[in-house]
Amino acid sequence: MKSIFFLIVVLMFAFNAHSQNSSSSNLEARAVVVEPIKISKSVDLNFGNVIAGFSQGTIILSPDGGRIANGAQISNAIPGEVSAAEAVVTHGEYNYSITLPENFTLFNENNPNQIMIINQFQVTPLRGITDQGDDILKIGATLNIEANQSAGFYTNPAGFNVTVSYN
Amino acid sequence: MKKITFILIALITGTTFAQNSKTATAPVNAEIVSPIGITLDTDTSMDFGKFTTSTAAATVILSADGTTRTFSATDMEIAAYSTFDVPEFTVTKDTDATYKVTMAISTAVTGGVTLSNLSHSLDTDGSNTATSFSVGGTLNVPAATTAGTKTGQVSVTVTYE
Repeated sequence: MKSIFFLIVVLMFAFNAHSQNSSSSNLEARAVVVEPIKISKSVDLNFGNVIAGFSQGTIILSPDGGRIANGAQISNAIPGEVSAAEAVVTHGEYNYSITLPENFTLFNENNPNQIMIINQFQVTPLRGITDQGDDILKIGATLNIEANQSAGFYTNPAGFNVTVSYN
Repeated sequence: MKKITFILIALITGTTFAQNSKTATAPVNAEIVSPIGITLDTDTSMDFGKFTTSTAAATVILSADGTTRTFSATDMEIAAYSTFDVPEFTVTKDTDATYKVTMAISTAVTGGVTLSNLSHSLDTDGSNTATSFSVGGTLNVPAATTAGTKTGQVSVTVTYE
């Protein structure tokens, strides 16, 4: 009789302990995914028609599309196709940085040994009209013209890189 | 002859009676262990923070101790949003008792991403005695994941061993 009583007591404690021997907690896992930043070119960089001189000079094409000639000449009557480059950046209202090349080389279409260097790139970001996180980048640069630069159409189909990245 | 038989039975009965009244004591021991409990520390959560997608499927790993957030693709990281967090728990328990930790995803994370490889900062067996620990995990982010806030639920259980 005593041994039966002992067994019951032990079983009661065992069950009691088992019901409280674990405990749980719930928590929320959270992440915020941001739309990847994108850039697409919409307008090429065109310095237009330029008249070389006997000494070296520069043409500064500002992001607003205006040209300033130093040492070279431009024809206001026949400007040719002049445009600052444009690219559209989709960035979802997050801050980003813009990286422009140090310089870029143009080659005479008819003689690749004749080159012109573009440098001092400038950029003006304009907030897009949609206000959906799209900006328009207006990009200008300086064209360096050597003395007696050979006439011709100078270009580089490889294009220069404009890199945007989230800060 | 009949009488002799009767006496023998009476003797047996007498013997039985004598043993029925004998007493002895046996100790009953039971130690009640205080119940184990777990609470999520205030202002802690499993927060993978803010990041963008990569060109291919990628992962974000929160270390269980909460010291690192590792991107499998570096282009996911946005420097301005470097904050992240891991949930920290306080365990109330008997001083001498050991316990183990189990974790489960109770509600899958929304929005195309998935949570996996939950890990905690303690030993994986039942030998734990620490009164606090934290939990990390891996978030799997497909390349085509849409932007937005993703949430899910994780359940963490401590059990006496």
